[in-house]
Amino acid sequence: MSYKALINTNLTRAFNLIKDLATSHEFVKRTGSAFNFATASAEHATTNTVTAKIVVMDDKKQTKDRGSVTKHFMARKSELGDVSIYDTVTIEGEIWKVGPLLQDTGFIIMASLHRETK
Amino acid sequence: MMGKFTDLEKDVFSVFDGVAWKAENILTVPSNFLGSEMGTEFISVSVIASGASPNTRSISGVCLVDIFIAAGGGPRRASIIADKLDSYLVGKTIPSVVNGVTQFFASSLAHKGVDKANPSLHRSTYTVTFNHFGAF
Repeated sequence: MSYKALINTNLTRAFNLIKDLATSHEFVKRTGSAFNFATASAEHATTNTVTAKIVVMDDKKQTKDRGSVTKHFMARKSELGDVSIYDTVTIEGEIWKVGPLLQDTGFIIMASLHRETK
Repeated sequence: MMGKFTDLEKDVFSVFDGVAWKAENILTVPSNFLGSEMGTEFISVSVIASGASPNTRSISGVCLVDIFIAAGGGPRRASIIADKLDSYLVGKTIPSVVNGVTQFFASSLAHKGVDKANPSLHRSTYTVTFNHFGAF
């Protein structure tokens, strides 16, 4: 077994061992994005749905001028793939927008999720 | 009914949506677009409508175009792209898609150096002033 396969296997094991700390959610991923100047909108060549396990590492709410909530999460790259700011994820019935990628090791990706709230 | 800011944006976007500009094969995106594959040469267009205006339907300002080229090759390619932008914008009058007119005036180019976010790219900033006159 290659080292890459070994790492991915052990990551899968780790995500299973932490039980309900890793939760499955449905990501809507948009790729092949281009801007259409005629319609003044971003268009995406493909939209697909991926269910991936994530671990939420941080949860922040700022209420200084309005209510914005942010989550930082990590996921297995082999399961989720690349993410972009056009992607969304549904967590407990609420739609979160994927924010900037924080880290991508090739095996684990860490990114932020954002939502406006009251 | 659209307002002057939307009409102005439509005028500017109509230049980059034209067959002639598309034939230049320079990837063009507006501000607040984050495409996944920008490559090593592209421009980003921003419309800054913050100047004086003679009436409530008109506005003046600057069209700012960030020109990104591969770092390390000197400024010539950015200058060539700026000259192309000049040929489509400077001195041109664009009838508004809805109503009114947008006129472009003088341009300038500043080579800003290596891009902070992506050091493999060099960024130059092209600016051209405009007046947008909305019809009553």
